[in-house]
Amino acid sequence: MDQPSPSSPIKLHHDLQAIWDTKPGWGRLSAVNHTVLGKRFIIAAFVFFAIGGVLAMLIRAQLATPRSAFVGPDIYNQLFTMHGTVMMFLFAIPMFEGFAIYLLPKMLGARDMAFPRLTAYGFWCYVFGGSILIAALLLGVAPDSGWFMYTPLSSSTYSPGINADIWLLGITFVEISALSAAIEITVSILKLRAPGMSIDRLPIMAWYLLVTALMMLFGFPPLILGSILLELERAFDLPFFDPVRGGDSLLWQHLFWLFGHPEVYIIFLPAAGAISMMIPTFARHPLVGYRAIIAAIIAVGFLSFGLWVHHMFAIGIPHLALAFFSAASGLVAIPTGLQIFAWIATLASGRPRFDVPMLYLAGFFVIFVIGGLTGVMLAMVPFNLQAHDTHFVVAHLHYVLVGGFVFPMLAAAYYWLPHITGRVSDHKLSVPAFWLIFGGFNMTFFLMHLTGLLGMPRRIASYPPEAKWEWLNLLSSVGSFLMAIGFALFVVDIILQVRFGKAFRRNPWGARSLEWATPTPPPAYAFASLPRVQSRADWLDPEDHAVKLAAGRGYLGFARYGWMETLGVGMIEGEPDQVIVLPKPTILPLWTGLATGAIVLCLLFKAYWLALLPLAITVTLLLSWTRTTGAQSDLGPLPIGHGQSAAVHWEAERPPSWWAMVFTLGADATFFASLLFGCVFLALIAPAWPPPVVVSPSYGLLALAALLMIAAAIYGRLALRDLARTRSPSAWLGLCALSHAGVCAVVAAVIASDIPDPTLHAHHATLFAILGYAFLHSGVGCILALYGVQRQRHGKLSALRSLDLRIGSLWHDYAAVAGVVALLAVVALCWSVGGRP
Amino acid sequence: MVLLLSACAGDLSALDAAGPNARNVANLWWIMVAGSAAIFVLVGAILCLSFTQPGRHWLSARWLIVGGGLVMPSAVIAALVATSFALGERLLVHAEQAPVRIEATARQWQWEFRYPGSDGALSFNELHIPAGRPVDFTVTSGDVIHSFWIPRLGGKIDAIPGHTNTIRLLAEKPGHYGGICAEFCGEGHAVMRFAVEAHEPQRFTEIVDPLNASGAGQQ
Amino acid sequence: MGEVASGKRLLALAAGFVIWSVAFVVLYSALSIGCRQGWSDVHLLAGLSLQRVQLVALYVLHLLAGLGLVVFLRRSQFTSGAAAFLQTVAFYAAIAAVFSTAFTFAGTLMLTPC
Repeated sequence: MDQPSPSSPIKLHHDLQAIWDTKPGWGRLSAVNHTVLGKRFIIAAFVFFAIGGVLAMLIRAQLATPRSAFVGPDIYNQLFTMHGTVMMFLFAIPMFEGFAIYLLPKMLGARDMAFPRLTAYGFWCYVFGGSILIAALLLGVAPDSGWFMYTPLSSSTYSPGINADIWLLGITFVEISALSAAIEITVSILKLRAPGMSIDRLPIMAWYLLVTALMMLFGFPPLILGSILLELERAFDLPFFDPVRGGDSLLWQHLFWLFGHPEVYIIFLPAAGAISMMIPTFARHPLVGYRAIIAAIIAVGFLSFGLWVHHMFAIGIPHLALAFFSAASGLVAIPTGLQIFAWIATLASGRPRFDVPMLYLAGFFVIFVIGGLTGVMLAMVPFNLQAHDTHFVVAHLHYVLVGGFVFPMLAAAYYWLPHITGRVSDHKLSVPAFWLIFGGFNMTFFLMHLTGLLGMPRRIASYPPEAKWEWLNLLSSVGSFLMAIGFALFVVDIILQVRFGKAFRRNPWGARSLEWATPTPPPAYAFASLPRVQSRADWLDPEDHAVKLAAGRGYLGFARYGWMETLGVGMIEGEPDQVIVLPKPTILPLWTGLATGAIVLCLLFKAYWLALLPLAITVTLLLSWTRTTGAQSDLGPLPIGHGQSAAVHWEAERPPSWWAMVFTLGADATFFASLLFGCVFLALIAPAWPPPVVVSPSYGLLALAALLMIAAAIYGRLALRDLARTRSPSAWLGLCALSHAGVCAVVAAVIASDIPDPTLHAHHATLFAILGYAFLHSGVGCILALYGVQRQRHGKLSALRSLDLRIGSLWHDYAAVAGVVALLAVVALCWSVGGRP
Repeated sequence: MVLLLSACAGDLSALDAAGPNARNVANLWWIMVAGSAAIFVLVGAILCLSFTQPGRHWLSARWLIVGGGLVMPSAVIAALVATSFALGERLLVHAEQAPVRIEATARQWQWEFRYPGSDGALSFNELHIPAGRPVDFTVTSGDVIHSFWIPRLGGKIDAIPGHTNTIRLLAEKPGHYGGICAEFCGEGHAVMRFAVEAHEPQRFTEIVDPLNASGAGQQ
Repeated sequence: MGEVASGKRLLALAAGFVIWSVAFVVLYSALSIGCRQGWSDVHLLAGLSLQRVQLVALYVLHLLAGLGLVVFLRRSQFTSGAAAFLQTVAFYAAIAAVFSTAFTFAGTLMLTPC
């Protein structure tokens, strides 16, 4: 196969545009392009930020005066619950996702993210899930148990309405988007880079996002598990959190904060990444301490998982246990401090220059340092016991999150908006907007430290005038309205810039990273050809690259077969090892998102059997995504330019989708580990144990299930072996599917015979959950095996094109290991309460 | 200074300490505020200098990262953590002394206090304690999670259904102190307060004895 | 370099803090189980309780493991760009992890365990 002949830059642009562009009109709904979806994520997140901001103003209006009759406690509880929920789940996380989706491929020198349709699906899940929450707010049935949803307040006894279900289901829905983005970001950074971009040349932003995405993969599963368990309790009365029947409300707190604290760093790290990209530009000096910063990010990533109990110091656990978490909480300040000093050192080493983004970054430094200092204070157990659950904590968390996320994002908006719009601002409103936001913020929250220490608890809807909190609250409220005016001014400024800003040629800030080598505003394909990177990718010459790339003198500087192509590289050395053919715009992600939304709505309105219908539709739609991928004949290596060639991704050894499955299973294993932790926690800590009736499991059936699980994994591998020997794998795949189906049947039989009533006690409910986990994994395994048969029938498999079966085999292997562990856990849990044979 | 102290006064002010527990924390707080202010000014000054005087040798990258980013926070945090561990040990409930023991049970939205000795003595939303003596509170909940907090005496402890937690507090002088539920517990969270009366020890016995199961101050 | 070998080399970046994480899980579990089983009331020689002895032993064990990793990373040498880079960062992270382990669990030496 020949390399298409080079063409003129204009012709190349038109050819690529014809392939990559999203269709206008209704065709917009089929967009899968990262530039389009990144912008949509950012705009949607900003809309939710505005909604959350309005909620905050209503809260401040209520608290401005004592004994306020503005809203009653029922409405007030919805307001603060939704403010926290919207800002955390519907603003901060999606905003960073949008930011990453828009910028990451351009910074890495790729044409798109690894899984464009997954980006689109994640976007729809986010918008639909967010809409459910906002609709509930407008209908007056919004969640009202706090954004932390502590049981038993959020359980059906004390929150009988639909409110809590909306939180649990809506947020879980939105988290599908967060997890899919995490997998996509991880794989894109590891595989989709420009040739020559070895791991030591990654732009620092990529390191930040890599660690963030991995943290999401391990941080979100505990919350998803907690939400599922609580929804199971609310819907089917399985007593995971009911202290009378062997559950424990503390289990929820552990699962929630095991997610909740890493979440803070998941929000901060991308912003820190943005800072690390902006500071060198304005310092006119490469980032100082690149390797130390990476070690610091890794340290933060881990340490942030070891301090969740500092939200729970008052629950009554041993002082030594508190000490672990207290020390870890203090410790995490060190790598954060290191980053701050690395930024200062970068400024001190260069020739710094002031501009609007730097103004906002100065605001970041002031606010975030104060937030960090109060954070260290709160890490000290005796002080925490006084300040916990008061407005001191409200002040601290806003200093950290607004300082650590909102201010850097405002700076980033001014820094990268010219890239999005191709226009520069003339800075008229950005300066007063900054002073209003900055001044209003400090007026609101600095005083709040004192309000808290004067004893004002969080989440109270009113307070008596004699409490001495009157003036502080009034001033905080005035400050919050100043801040709101500042944000309004910011919006006006952005609109003015988008509408009336001056066009510029290229790279207005003199930045030194690859995203400025694309035309601005960027075309859908980002780069007309892909660069070869020869230095660290956050300190190169984008203008030089830009000219060469537009002329098609890089890699893949041609349009071939109407394919959307980008390069995959080896993770460490960064040399091309595959041509990744990306999927065309399609409306399937929207349909899949709608079907997923239908599942959520069915569950919300307790139509559980009806939910099976949209579930089946969702699975079918997801499988149909792959109809257009792959080929029916072997292609062999394809030329990629510069005399090099590489295999197309479905013929490559380790394509992005294989890695995606590895990371998915990593998140899945975290979910399973959290479930096992929950089971052990309940058996060890919860009141009302041992259970009144102990399960004695059917050992024969459990052994049979284990054998079938292992058999399925072996059949999956045999299918792969036969395919490699150019024989049909269908028979083995059929046996694999049959084994999985057998596991499902046997596990169902065990549940039916041994756990007739899982609502009896947490002992029964936990066994039910573990067996349910095994059941679901074999169910999915069965579908994947049958899918392999289908791919074989369509001629998409060969010795070279074995990707589908290799991904399936990963699943079968995992299902066998996790399944056997699950069965052993069932036996161990029964024995631990005396259920010996 | 007088102005500052009066600003910190209040029925529920953790800074207006009336017991050793709260006083230790208030002292820790003032130390941390002073230290934080110093660190803040230092970081701010270095940041300003990095802008106005870049390239100076005393602003070398290695010095900044190792000195400012590693050594300074490590030293500060190690000192602080050691102090708070020592302080935390002193807050612990040790079995040696045999103080007064009062059971506090939280419900939506009221506090029930059960007193020792005299059988079944109860009070609601009104807590009587002897001044000058340590009191152990065993705290639990009858429904959702609440948190037992008398800011002027010391830190809080959660009232969790199915669990019983203990906290030891001491009021140095007779007087009136405010108590409040610190954990969000539903619609009545804001009004879930209780009044604490610390009495001279003899007076305490006189007050507690006549209380019967119908209780004083029941709502 | 094969992709799986690359993956392993990347994992070395996390090795130090994986030891810290394991220490966290192990010590927190051992603490909870020990308190549950009343090991702090089981006195061994010199007034030390079983609880204290087992916790300190686990603490030291994980510190040694972390130090071992630091020594290992210090010994193995790479000269080429990416591999040397990864090793340096892994080395920094391992040192940070040993320091973190020593700091986070120092309480086992003197604080009341239950």
